[in-house]
Amino acid sequence: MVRLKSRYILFEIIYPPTSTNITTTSYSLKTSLKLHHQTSTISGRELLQLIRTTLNETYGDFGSGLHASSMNVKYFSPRTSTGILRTARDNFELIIGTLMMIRSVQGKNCIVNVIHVSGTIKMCQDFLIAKNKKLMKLMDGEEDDALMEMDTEVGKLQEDEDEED
Amino acid sequence: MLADLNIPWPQNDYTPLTTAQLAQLKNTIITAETLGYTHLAINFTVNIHEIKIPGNDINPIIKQLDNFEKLKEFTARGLKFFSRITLIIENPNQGQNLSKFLGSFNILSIAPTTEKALILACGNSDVDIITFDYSKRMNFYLKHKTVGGGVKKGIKFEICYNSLVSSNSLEKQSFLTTFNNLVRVSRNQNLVISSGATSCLNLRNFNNVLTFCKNLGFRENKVFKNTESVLLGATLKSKSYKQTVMIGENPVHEDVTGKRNIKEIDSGDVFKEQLKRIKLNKQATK
Repeated sequence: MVRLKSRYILFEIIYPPTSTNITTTSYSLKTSLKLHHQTSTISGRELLQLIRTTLNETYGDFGSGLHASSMNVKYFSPRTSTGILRTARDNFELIIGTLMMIRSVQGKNCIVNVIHVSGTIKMCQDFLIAKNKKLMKLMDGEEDDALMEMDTEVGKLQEDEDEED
Repeated sequence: MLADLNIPWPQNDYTPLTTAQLAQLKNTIITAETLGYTHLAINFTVNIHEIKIPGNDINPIIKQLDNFEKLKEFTARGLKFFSRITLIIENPNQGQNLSKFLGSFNILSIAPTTEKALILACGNSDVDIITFDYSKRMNFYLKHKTVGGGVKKGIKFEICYNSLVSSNSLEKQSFLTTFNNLVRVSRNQNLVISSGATSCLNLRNFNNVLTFCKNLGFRENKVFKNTESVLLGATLKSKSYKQTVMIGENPVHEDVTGKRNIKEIDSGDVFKEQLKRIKLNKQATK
């Protein structure tokens, strides 16, 4: 017996900044990192429906037929806009092509970014955890620097006070 | 490193950028950064037949961005910018004198719109990249003989996926036609993939695009190496003696922090292996 083989696609939805007002938009590292974790209002089921329609638009009846049965959104967190999609192992490239073609989710312009493809859901999970740890480290790194600066400033103030005494 | 060789400059002539356009450019850059790109070439496209090139200050990118000083927030954290010019050439008689662009732009590319212009571009070794308009159907036929000549000279041919992800279905179709023709004619050699994203929404993860292209019969075949060699040529143009001699390391891989591993230096691992061999020989003689 050979079991049914599938591919798990780890993806995230990025909502790029579209404001053309240069003073209100910040272009710091943090903004760039925060683009990875934005909230969206769509649910997993609606997302699956969107992927199905886009698949039909891009690859027609042929593509829809190949991926009609086994496609399923296994996990989707609207809080971080990250999800895991399960597809058939054969021709999973079509799904990546489809995700590329998605231009908006519920009327909001977006990019769907495929981060990882693997044979088991566990590997996707591990990859996501490792990635998030790295992101958090980068975020903290900047905060640490800011804290360090504050520390030094406070230290200076104390020295001044000492001198006055 | 991951490079995108085509981030379009919002203007097609020498008029200064409005603040909205600068914001648009910055939006595109920050999206590219989020998607993992580290080297970006800003591309100034100009139709040589319609716009008169001024005598000095040919490069509006360097001039208006104060030598990338206005993108300071990005360069401070390690993003690298290059300036590139794309000349739309129709009549080959007017595209003879390209040497004046060489000094002021890092990368020189040509977008031929006729077969004669393509022949000219493929025969000119100053050209780094030849690109096409993927949003329209090409009005001439690509031939292996012409493109092969360009490949032999080391000219790279560019694939811009901007039209592929656009909402217009005609644009998608013409992209696929041109893409297939180019891959067939160039025999998968000397191809580079770049975005040409007119807005930040048209950028995609490089690996996704590569998977898509592979599915269409494109072989990965040195696509990363090709991009790197374009950037290397770009840096050598300005910083070396006659484009051959330069002191220092590979400028494309230059590390921001200043720390480096022996393996990261070109031929570093060969050097390491040699050291090992010498050590082993010494031990053997003892």
